[in-house]
Amino acid sequence: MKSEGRFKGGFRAAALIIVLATGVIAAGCSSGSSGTAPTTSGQTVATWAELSGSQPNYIFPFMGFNFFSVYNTEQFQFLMYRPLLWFGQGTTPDLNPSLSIAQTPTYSANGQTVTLNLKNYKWSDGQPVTTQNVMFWMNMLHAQKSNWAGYSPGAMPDDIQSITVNSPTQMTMTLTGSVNSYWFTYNELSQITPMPNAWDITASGGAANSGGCAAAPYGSADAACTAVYTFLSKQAGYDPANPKAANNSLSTYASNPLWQVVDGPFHLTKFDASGNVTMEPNPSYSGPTKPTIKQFQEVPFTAESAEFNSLVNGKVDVGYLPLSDVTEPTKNPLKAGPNNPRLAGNYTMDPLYSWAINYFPENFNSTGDGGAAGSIFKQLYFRQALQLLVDQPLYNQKINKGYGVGTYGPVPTTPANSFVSAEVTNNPYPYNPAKAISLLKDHGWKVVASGTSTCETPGTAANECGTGVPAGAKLDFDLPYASGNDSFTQLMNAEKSSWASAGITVNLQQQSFNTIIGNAVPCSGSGCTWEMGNWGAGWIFAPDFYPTGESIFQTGANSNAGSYSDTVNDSNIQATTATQTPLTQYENYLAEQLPVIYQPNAVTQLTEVAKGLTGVLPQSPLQNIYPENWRFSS
Amino acid sequence: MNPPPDGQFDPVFNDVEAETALPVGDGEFMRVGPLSEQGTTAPAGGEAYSSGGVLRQMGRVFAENKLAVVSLGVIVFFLLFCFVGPHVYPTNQTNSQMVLQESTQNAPPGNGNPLGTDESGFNILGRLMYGGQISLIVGLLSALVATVFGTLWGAVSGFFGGWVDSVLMRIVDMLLSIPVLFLLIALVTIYRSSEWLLVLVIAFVSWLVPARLIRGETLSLRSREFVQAVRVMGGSNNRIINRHIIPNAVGTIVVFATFQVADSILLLAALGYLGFGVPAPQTDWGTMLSNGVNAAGNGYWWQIYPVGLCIVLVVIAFNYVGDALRDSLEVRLQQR
Repeated sequence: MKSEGRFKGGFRAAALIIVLATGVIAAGCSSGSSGTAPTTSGQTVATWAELSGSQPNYIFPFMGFNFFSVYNTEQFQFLMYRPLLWFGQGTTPDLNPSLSIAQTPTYSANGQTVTLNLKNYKWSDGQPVTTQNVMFWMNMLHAQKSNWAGYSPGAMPDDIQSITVNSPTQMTMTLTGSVNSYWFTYNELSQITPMPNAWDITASGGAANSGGCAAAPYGSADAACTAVYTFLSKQAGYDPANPKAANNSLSTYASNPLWQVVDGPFHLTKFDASGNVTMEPNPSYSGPTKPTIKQFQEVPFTAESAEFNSLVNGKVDVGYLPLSDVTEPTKNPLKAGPNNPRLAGNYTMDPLYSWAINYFPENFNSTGDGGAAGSIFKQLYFRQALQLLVDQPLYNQKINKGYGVGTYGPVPTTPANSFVSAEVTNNPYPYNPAKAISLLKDHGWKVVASGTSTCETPGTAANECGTGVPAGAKLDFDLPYASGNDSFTQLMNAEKSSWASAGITVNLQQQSFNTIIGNAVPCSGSGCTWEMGNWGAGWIFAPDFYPTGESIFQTGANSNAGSYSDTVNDSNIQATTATQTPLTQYENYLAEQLPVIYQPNAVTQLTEVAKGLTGVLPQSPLQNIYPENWRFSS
Repeated sequence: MNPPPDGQFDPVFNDVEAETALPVGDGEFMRVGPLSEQGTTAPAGGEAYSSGGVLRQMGRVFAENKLAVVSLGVIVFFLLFCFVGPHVYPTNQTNSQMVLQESTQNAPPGNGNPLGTDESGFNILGRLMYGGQISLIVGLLSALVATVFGTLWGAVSGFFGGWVDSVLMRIVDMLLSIPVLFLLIALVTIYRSSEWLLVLVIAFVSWLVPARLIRGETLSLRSREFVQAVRVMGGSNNRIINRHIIPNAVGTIVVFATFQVADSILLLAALGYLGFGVPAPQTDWGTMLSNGVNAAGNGYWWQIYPVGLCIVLVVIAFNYVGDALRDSLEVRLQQR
């Protein structure tokens, strides 16, 4: 016992020293000393901080909703595999012809045929980027539309009648009917990423085009394309037959020769499961601006504080200031306020707002909460009660330190645009706890403030709980939310308290971003148990740059996470995609119907750019990054 | 009645009058007939003298340790601070929405917030009380659970010996070989974190040491005469363990339990510091310290020092009390 006691005494002493040392360190930090400047002069390696808790985890561009994030697409895959059409022009989400592989599409007078002309781009294996590479994508989409995140019923490939390859650089698509050409360019053609012939294989080491998918006439090789899709997905670590299996291929991304065939400005040289990414320039890149840096590194962080400390110590060239480290709020959400004093000398701060809306889905098919969750979510009065307890202006002012705008409907309000209606700009459901409680009571619920409300009057009459909601059903739901962001945690806790005031119990649980988007997917049946899920970023309108919403709100869309379904909404969407109908009717309807719970749209990030590094600004609202433009001072 | 020579005693005979129990060596007593029946020979050790009960003597030795007395006062103070304080100084510590509406975030001390506010706007003085409740409850309960379970495990292992001992101790060895923090973080990650889960997971990694200690004590005790006497008289194994072995190891158990409270509070603080504490808006001192350190660079010192001081004071206090208890239960020191 004596020796044991001495050992334990030593442990305790060590622990106490750690605690005291923490205080001393903290005291040192609290002196407000300025940070270390990153070395920029003559630098050839650029480091970029990934958003805390969010790392790329999939390399194959043809993917389902479970991998469909800007961290995988805009900030990872697009650096290697360029989409056919590039969107993001300065600070707008507009089409950018100079960075596109194809010329601006041309449409026939009746809007039923579209012609694509490719520029002279090359793959890193020396092959030209041709219409066959585009056809490869289109054939795979025809065969595997259910596994493409951008699919919505009636849209591509359903609306493509035929595709004619006129030459290696020209192809014509014939559509099943007239479409709104703006929509078709911004939301349909925007989804295409040409794939190299080297990927058209079904086994490692196979000869290019041996898979029989790329060269086949449109829609004639579904079986071959399915085999190729399965092979490529497995190479990327995703087994379509076992979608929940862990991805064991992440460590092979940089060494697998498949992924080294690129047409973008960079190719991958290092990758690990933690999200450490290293890329080097692709010497064959055909785009207008060639990289000058020798290496581009993406650095992951599991906590914002670690990322902030890296900035303070000058370890990253481009990072972001966590909202919790904003020491002085801004008066204008779109303008940078004072930078953190420890960074101000070495970095320039620039707020980035995405072409996005922020929300989280409820699962309308959920069998959670004793089987009643989905039925409860289908009740408009309940969704209204939830929304009435979300105090967006307060959260933007206090938690987001002024760097945030409201999301009140399905169309983004920033950057300023002509699509958004007055109703979506002005909150139709301002914070009103009394009204929320009243709505629940008026529909047969026994409201227990700070407890859990229960359905007292089941039934379908106007003053009853609603279809499928049994007596005794509880307002008690699980809401996993993304970890790694302190201000987001504050937001979730504030909302939890607010909902509790109306007797709506929400059980919060932190999970990684990738876990949440992997679980919160459209589903049905007894295994469809998830209730709500908040990955913290809503939806960035990419590759559906025209915010008509078919990708996320149309019945059956693959990225309609909560399986929202409404015939009026479907008709409204159809009108905007087929004709030049303005979005007003569509967006006003969904602002009232609440297919999701709208959330405050905090600044995507307060980007910090090392002084001496140019080419980072202006930032794209689509969250693209352009390290090929970055230049260090000499 | 003289206290047992080495601080061990057999409570079975506590109700036996002094003249009916004689020491048989090393603190054990055997039941004998009344003294009058044994003739008038004086006891070999001299006449018995009374120096008060065991507890009184323990108290006297404990009181000689001034630091321990002060530490006991510190513990009592923090118990009152955490559990009575919120009734004297009520603050909102659970409604994040309301605190956002009504408070200023990161406010320095003053203006109704004697220790300032944190990043959510919670009053830090009130938060220390609220977080302290969880730290103390988890610390005390996990120590209790670990001690009780470890004691039973060690007693069974030591008493039965043989293959039972081998199996039970290899399990202990195996669990001891797993890094504690790794195990804790894995458990807290798998299951939804709550104060009750934390009690269980901290106890889960803390019962191993008392199991070993009590097993050693039991190996020594089971060969003593009073145990053999009970066995001869037909006492069951269960009775021997529960009525004789464990009571005779109570000194070891109590001292360990006291130290374990301090260790559990530190473990909880470490978990909270690493982001695996109780879920917000609940808090514990470790979580508060973690949040405070994140804000330290921005000059919010009031989010670090008060909570750091609370952890240090309470842990030191429990350590001093544990040391003093060990002294009190050590009979040779009792007779200084």
